[in-house]
Amino acid sequence: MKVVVGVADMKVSNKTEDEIITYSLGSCIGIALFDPYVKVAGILHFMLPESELDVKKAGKNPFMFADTGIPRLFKEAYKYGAKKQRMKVVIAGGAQILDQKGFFNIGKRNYMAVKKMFFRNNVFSDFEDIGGNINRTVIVRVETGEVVIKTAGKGERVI
Amino acid sequence: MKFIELLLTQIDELEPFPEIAHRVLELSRKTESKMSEIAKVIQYDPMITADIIKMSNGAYFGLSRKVESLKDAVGVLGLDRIINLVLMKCGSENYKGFQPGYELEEGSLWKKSASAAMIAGKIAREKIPESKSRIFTAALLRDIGKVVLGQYVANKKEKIKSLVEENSLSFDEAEKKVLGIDQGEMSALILKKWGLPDEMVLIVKNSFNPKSGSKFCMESDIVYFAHNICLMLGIGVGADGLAYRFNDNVMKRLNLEYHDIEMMMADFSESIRELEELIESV
Repeated sequence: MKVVVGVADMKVSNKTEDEIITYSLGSCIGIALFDPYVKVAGILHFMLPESELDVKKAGKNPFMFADTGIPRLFKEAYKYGAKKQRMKVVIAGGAQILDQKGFFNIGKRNYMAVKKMFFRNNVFSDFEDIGGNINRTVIVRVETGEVVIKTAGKGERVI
Repeated sequence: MKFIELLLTQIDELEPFPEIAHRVLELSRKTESKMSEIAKVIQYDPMITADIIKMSNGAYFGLSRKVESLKDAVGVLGLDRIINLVLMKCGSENYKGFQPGYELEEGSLWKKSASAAMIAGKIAREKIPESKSRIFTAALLRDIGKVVLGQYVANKKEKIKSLVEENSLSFDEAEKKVLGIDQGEMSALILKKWGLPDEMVLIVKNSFNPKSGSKFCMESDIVYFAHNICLMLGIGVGADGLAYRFNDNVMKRLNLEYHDIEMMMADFSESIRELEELIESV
């Protein structure tokens, strides 16, 4: 079954027939994870780096921000028996408009926020497809743990 | 036949911007227009009226009671929102199919156009309220050029792609180099042929590369900015990706800081599911 993760959204599943997909990442970042031992997979699609922008919004929807969404993704996977040490972790997105520099570069700020969270929590990514000015769609298949990154006009890559 | 002449003939294959939309837009520009005058124009079209009532009752507006008539809808939602719904309804037809060249899935370009119009309309209410309907419409119609240009972009996609990837051109700069016309110029040609006012044509054309000091500069800036928010959110982004120029002078002219961009994205995302439902119902 196709499980769609919207903008500022997260889904985790241990149903082997499920395929979790998030479309069109733009400057947003998609984090896909998979634990092969318990066959648990999930995707977080967050938009912005820091929840301090609006704590009320973060309370209502933690998946909007990297610093509140990432812990929720991992905790949800742990509930299904997943372990950090076994997880395959893939990061994609964080694209930028041409000449989008400095503070205005939300894609880059999003990526820095992921790196900061991962470093603090001792998480290592297995594959990253970040930046540039392309739009990405990410799929993770619960049965196989395959992560597919699709880009319009450029085909797909299976990790 | 010259290429531009060929493109002009293709415009005739589009659904024209309906008369009712021209009239509503015209009335909304006149400050002395009364609510009843605009409602009368809308009521004259029973299909539009029925759609407005249906859209008013959707999850996006979250009304606690059911709207049963146009008068009711105007009373509950206000005239501005009703005008926007009429313009959305009238502007949707051409956008809905698959767009070759840009490789946009069915409905994707429509979602971007409607989302950008909503964002632009919101900024306009704060920055330049007297132009809010004009800005909403310009943002809604800005990408119409893609609908005609798409098949020609598809024919030359490798050349365009290589100019973007290897020569660091933006997608519209590459279009101009390869086809002799870009999507902004194409949109302007279409709007002119549809008989939209000159200032609307100018706002749309300039919104692809807004320049300080140009006529209706703030209107173009807002339309440009709203479409950039959509790009960042990945809405209506295809093979062209985010390969368009970001102009931070627009942010300065609109007095927007980084924090404002993030807030706009966050605000927009809060109603995105309901907006998707509204957009799909149009």
